Parts: sequence; C-alpha cells; structure tokens
Amino acid sequence: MSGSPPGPQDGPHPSQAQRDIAGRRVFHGILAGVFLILIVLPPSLSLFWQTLLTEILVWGLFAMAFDLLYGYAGLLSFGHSVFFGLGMYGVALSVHWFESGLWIALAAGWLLTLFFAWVIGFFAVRVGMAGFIILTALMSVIFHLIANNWESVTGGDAGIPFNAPPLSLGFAVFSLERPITAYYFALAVVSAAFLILRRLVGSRRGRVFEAIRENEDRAVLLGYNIRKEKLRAFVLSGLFAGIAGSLYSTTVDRFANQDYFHWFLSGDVVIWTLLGGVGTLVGPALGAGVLLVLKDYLSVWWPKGFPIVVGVLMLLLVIFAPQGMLGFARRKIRGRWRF
Amino acid sequence: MIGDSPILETRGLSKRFGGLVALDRMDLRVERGDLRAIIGPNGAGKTTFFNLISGLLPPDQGEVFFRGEPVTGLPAHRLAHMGIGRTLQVTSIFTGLSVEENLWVGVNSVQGEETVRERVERVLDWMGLHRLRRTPASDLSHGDQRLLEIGLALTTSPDILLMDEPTAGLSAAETQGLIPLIGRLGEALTIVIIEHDIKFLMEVVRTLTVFHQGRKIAEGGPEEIRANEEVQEVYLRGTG
Repeated sequence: MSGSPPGPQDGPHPSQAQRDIAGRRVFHGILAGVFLILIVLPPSLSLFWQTLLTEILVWGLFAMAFDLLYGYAGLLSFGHSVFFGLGMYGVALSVHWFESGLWIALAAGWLLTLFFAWVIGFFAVRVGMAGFIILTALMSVIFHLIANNWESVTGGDAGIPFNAPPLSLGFAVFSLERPITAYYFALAVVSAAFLILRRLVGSRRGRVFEAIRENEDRAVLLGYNIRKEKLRAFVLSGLFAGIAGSLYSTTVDRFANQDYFHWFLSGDVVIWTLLGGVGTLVGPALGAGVLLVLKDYLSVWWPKGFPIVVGVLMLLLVIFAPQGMLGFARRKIRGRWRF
Repeated sequence: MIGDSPILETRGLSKRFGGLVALDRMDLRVERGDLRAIIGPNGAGKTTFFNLISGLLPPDQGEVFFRGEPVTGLPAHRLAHMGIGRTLQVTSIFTGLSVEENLWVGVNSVQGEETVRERVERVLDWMGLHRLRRTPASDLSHGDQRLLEIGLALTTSPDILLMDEPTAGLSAAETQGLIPLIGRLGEALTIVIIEHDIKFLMEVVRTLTVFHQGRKIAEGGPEEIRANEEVQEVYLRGTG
C-alpha cells in the first residue's frame, strides 16, 4: 500500500474536475426541474395525489433532518420519531388548550422539540456509540408511553384531534384544510428548510460534522469539543424533525396521537435514509418518496406485501448499491462521492 | 518566569492499565526549540506518554506543565487550543474529505493570527501538497497520507508538535524525504518524535530520551546515546 501511483502526480485530472462541474450541473438541473414540477403540476392532480405529495414532502423533510445527524455527524438515532411527535404535539397542545394561531402553534412545536432535543442530546452524546443507539431508542418508547398515559394533557390513546388554524399572510387568509393550500404551504416550508440544511451541510460546520464521523480522536486533537459538536448536530437535526412533525399536523393529519412517537417510525426513517443514500441529504427524501408511493400502490393489490418488498429492496441495495439510490447515481455520473 | 520554563515538563507522570505499569513516575523536560526523540522498545510507554500529555488519557499520578502552566488532566481539545499538536501512529485523516477540506477542518477550530485561507495555503506549502489539494484523502498514496497527517497537526499552529512514528509504513525513499521537512519544521517549533528508525533519527534530532518499561533510562545527544551501554543492551542491539 505504500509508494506513489505510477507516473507523475498531477493532482486532480482535468477530466475529473470537468466531471465534477458537469455532475453538479446535472444535479442542480434535476433539482430545479423537480421543483418546477412540484410548483406547476399539483393543481391538476387528484385530491389523493395532492395529499400524498404533501405527505412525501413532509416525510422527506423528516428524512433529511435524520440524515443531518446520521449521514453527516455519524450518529445513528433510533429515536427520531420523538422529535417528529413533539413537533406534532406542540402544535396540537397549543391549538387545543390555548386556541393559538398557526404561527404561534408552529413555534410552540419547534420550541418543545428544541427543549427536549437539547435535554436528550445532553445525555445521549455522553454515553458512547452503543449507548447513543439504546438511549435514543428508549426515548421513543418513553415518549410513546407518556403520550399514551398522561390522559389529562395528551388525551391518552384518543390523542388530540384539532382543526388547523388558518394561514394568514396579511393580504389573504387561507384554510389549510384544503389539500391544495396545505400542499403549497408544505412545499414552501420544506423548500426553505431544505435550502437551510443544504447550506449547513455544505458549510464548514458540515465539514466538522463529517470530520467527527470520520475520526473522533483526530477531531479532538484538532481542538474540537466532540460532545459540543455532537450536541449541536443532535439539536439541529431534532429541530428539523420537529418542524416536519409540526408541518404534518397542520397539513396532513390534524390529529396528534401516540403512534407518531412509536419506534416503528424511528425505524422507517433509518430505512428511507439507507435506501435513498446516507449523507446525501436529498437521497433520504427520495427514499421516503419512493417507499410511500410503493406502499400506496401495494396496498391495493397486495396489502401485506409491503414489508416483504421493502426487505427484498434493502437486500438488493446492500448487495448492488450500498451507498443508496442517490449515492449510486452520483458515483455513476461523477466517479466521486459528493456533488 | 514563564519565559525561563521549559515548553513541556512532566513530573512523576504515571499510568497503569490494570496490573501493567505503562508509565512509571516519568520526569521529562523539553526546552523550547528542541528537536527531541523518544525511543525505546515496544511497550516502553512512549505512546502512553504522548496520550497523557496531549490529553487523550488522564494520568493516574503526576503533573504536566506546558509553558510553565499546570495542564494535567485538561481535555485534548483544550490542549490543542493552547498549542499542543499531535500526529498519530495510525494515519488519522478524514478520508471522506479532500486534502484541502481536511486542513480547513483543523484551521477552522483554532483561530490564529492568520486567516483560515492563509493558514491552509501555508500548510500546503510546508507539506508540498498543493497539487493534491482537491484530491480525496482516501485516494492519496500512503506516503502522502502520512504527510497530510503531519499537515493536519500543523493546522492548529502548535508551539510543540508531538509526532508518533511519522515514518510508519514509509519506504526508505519516503523516509529520506521526511528528513528535510522535519528539519525545516524544527526551526519553527519544538518537536518531540517517537520513532523506531534509528538512522533516520540520528540525522534529524538534537536530543534523545530512551524509555524502557515505562521509565527513562538515558538522555543525551545522538553520540552520547549511541555510546551508552545500557541503551545498547535494551534497545539498539535488538533492532540492529
């Protein structure tokens, strides 16, 4: 393994650099195209598809939030449903108990998530890798139990059904109960969140998260307080998961219930991320979309087949494209790993 | 007062792993500007010593002073900010990042007088890695990875650089190539090197300290150490 490769070392070959730029252009082109379709197409779709697309957007955001933590900082959480659920309950509780308007309700969801992300993260980053997985998984169980048993506040297993407060934009007031309005609201929030996340993972902070994932000892010796950096990644990731939860409860399902804390959901997001491509940000959202559409189609002609199909898909993935759908596509285009 | 004190000093530094005494009441002084080697057979406590003074492990007993200030038991990231740089025996670079991004991560952590960009350029200069700046670290040859390992340790602008076997896995030619580099670095900062390659050491270092079973058995210039019979007994003869 020692010694230099044969021939003079020219650094990156020009063709490589050109491929990089070409790859980035293709990727940006696809992103812009998808965004345009997402703006123009939905009014002509059926109500079913409008709602399904809204769901995909929101779950996509949840998956991207998870990828920030796992794909970039290398922390595998099996309790990310906690933050999705908290975002949801924050909205539901503030609407139910205080009849708050939309923005206050959303803010309540985000603050509730922030608070618990910080508290859980404070402990989770101090217990090692295995401890992290166990602790986060336990949190899913604990929050599920709390939601189920603290009836006076959370409504127990009946949950909290509520009406989404209207969206007031100054010049007009829109009802989020209309699927198409809900869709565009979700699209706006998810797009904004996506741009922020994308900026974050492309920034120096993103490189630091990756550095910690790659080699903790080295990052420490370079002067990084690992716990602080991990906590930062955890809280940010939790916050965006909470934003997804709050959005879901205002645009898709106005019914906070304990199912959204369930560790099944924590597991789902892991699968979406692996399928779509760990550490690619867009990949996990793509994975969520593909699996949600697949689930809907299968529910018609093979209702019990979904877990089997997912299992087979994962198996094929591990064998042929361990870097996930997007990771695989990127490698094909570019011969390297990041756009 | 601080000006007179050695840049690094340990007093009675000890570390046990279960029943094994890895380091036994080590007293060591490194003067500012020294280019010091620590040699000794495997298990002599050399890397443990580095781990204790760079903060990766807490000592059981004893004290560490850096520029005259007590720093015993401070976490590694604080010591890095104070000016202790460290390379690792097993190449520890961020393989998923490019050469340039690797250096960024390091420079970004410690705010020095230079801007991030200036510092990255300077380290690229020192290491001769300019041409490979955009190459993913995983694609570098082993020799270039070892260079990046040293470069990373330099990003934080250390006053003292602790190098743990910089020649590990290098070919004879690559090892030769390191000599002028270490010489140049030695003019700018204090260096302590753990090393097995005696020939390599004799060309670059000013002082050697010999560890054996967690203790210091000899200290002096290259000729003095070469002539020391006890050292020959435990170490030099064994490795030819």
